[in-house]
Amino acid sequence: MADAVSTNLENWIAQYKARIAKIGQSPDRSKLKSNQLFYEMMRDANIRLLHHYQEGKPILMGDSRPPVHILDVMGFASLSLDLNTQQRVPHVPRFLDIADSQGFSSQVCTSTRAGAGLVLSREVPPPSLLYGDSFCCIPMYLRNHYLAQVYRCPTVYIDAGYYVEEQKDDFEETVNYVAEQIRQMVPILERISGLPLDEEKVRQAQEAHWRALHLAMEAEEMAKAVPAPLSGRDSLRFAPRSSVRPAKLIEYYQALRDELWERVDSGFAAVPGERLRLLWLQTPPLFTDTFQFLEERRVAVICEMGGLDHKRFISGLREEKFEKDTIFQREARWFLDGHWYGPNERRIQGVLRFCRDYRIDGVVHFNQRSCPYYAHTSRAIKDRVEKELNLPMLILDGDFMNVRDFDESTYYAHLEAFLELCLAQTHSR
Amino acid sequence: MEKELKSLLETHQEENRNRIAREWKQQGKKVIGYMCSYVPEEVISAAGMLPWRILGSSQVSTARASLYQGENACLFCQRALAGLMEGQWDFLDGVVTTNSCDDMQRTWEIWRHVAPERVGCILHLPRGDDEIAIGAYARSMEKLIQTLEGNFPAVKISPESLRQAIGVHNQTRRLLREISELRKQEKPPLSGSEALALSLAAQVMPKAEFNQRLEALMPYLEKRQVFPRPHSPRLLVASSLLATPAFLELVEQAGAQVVMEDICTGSRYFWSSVDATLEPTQALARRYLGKPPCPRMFFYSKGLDQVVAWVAEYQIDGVLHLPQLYCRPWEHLAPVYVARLQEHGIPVTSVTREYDLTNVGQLRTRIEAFVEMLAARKGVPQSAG
Repeated sequence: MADAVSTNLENWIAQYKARIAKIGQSPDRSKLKSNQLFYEMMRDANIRLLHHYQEGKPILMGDSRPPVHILDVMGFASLSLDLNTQQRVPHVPRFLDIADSQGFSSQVCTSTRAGAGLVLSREVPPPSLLYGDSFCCIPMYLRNHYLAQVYRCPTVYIDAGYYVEEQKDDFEETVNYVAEQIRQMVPILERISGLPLDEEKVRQAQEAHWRALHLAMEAEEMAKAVPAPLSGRDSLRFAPRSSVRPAKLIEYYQALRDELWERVDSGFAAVPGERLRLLWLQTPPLFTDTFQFLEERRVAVICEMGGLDHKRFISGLREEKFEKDTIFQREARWFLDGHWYGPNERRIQGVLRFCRDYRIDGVVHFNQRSCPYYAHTSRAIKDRVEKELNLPMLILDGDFMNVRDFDESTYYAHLEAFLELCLAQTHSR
Repeated sequence: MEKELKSLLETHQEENRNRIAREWKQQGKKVIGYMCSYVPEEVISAAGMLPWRILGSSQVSTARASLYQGENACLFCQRALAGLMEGQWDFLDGVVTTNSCDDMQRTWEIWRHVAPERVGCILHLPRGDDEIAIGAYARSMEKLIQTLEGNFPAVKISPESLRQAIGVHNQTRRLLREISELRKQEKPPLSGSEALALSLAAQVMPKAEFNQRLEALMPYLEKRQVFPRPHSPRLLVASSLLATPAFLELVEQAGAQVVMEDICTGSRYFWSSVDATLEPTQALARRYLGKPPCPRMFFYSKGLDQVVAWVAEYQIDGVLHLPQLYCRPWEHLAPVYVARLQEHGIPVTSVTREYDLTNVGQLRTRIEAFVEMLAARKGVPQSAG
């Protein structure tokens, strides 16, 4: 009889296969065909995970930014708890109840608690190794102290440092600080997988990924067009690092770029009659269709959080450095890339640049409850967006995963009022 | 001597600590506020400045701070930001902190956003304790030195001035550890609230003066005894920053003796010393990363090992885990903390508190229930109140 883990993974694989088939058969031009390749990546990542689970091969459980090329070459499959909980949003209340019964405070971030609850529900494969880093937020790695008690397996961590602004002198020190920590992980990985580190294979994977990222940047240039060629949902879509397979990534980004090229060339609008462009900061609530609400009102939505490696703010990937770097330094630069980590000023600069590049009319920041890392930046971002760009910004408080705390009418009323404000301001410009 | 002790213990109170900083300024000297116990005070002292622990303020409105921090902000960080924004500590010549937690980091950045002209520095505090981390923290200290020298041209921080400062601060820690050692006795010389008040005093006073005053009190303290109810349960209280000794007074009024703390403004502030034989910034980095760790550290399980060791050394009957509401690291790790102690057969209860002493009735009820349970285990009759 199949166990819960195998059943769950097989269900996900089946779902991805169904989506792939549906896209292949659909003549609807408004749906991206390249999404087929995206779902193939997700399907393959789950197949690999299932295989590793059933064969007793090594699995790394962790979120944020594990050094995927090294892990892949050393025979690990990766499992993202956060992605898994976000895909199971209807089950989140159950996971939260499980976590709360173990003593988690209700003030703890929902995403973290739900991940702990998911683990305790025994629906995900147990890991051989836990991974945490400080790139994102504290709760994401603090959870590992708890998971280590549950799984009794080793844990590795990477500290990202604070001095991460690329233009400053201390950035290279930070790159080397992170690179050294990644290098120190290798003996642990070797011990668990039984495979030695093959630096040449890692290098090849990194170079393939580099080519993919260049294609992603080309796709991103297309995405800036007016009218927006990407729907909000497609703008938010991203493949987590755990599913990265560079060869497939190249194929995906090439297809996406070509598709967007065609759309822009033909004047295709993902939102027919587009009259406003909103920048959405953070993840919108996953249990309600904000994009549909906005797109019905002819508002194009561009999501800050989206795209592989959050490609929109690739800033540490300099060609001259890439050639000379060790494999660990390369992983470190990728690790550090991303505007929303580090000092808030870094994020503010990213948001301002985004607004200019995408010709944004208004900004929405969704403040996740109990998330100071992002929620406490929103007011400062608002001050700067309003002052430097004369753009309106709306701050919404809520919980993107827990439907029990959601007041639908208030949420949409705020959005509706904000759209009116944006329209009035756009007309007066 | 009791009067002198009382005077020293009252130093941490808001009016008194502000007065101390103003008096220092009146001598033409500088005051640098700091917000985290990992900030190397010695560097500030070596600059001839007063390192002054920001403990929040109960006297200002948090309305403006709340605009930036939003709901569920760490209550200490909210009070700290409110104090800064409302000019409560205009005597500060600069503010230094670390990226210890998300709230702390963002609080600092909000402060820089609203007051970019003010002098300040945020240090990268590594989350490991290995040689890579020590090297990184030593580099952070160099940045602090550069910030102070760059903003105050008359300041020059030499290895020699650092060594002198290390000597003075080590003495502070040694004295506080001696007091802590005395609390192992059946009848300790200080109550828990008094011990915390003493530790807080050290963080807001000039160290040399604190050392002198406490040295003079030591013979008296060696003989002094606090008389709790006979054989009342001995507690260790664990919390994030606790600037209000009244919480520990409440615990003691519930019938317990608080003989040890796992608190960043308490024992974790003074627990280990700097190795003065090493190069100063390396020595400082080693000391700060080597002290009983904050829950934000990757190696926090060593902190739990330390708590288990303290329980044995101080003959602790139970642990009161008292995280501050919205303190993310402490709230996240509550299940881990409780489970680890339970694995060792140590009675523990977790009760969330506010920043100020509020909801006294609820707190008292829960703490009394725990203390009664411990007393029953110890075979000690307890009476209410």
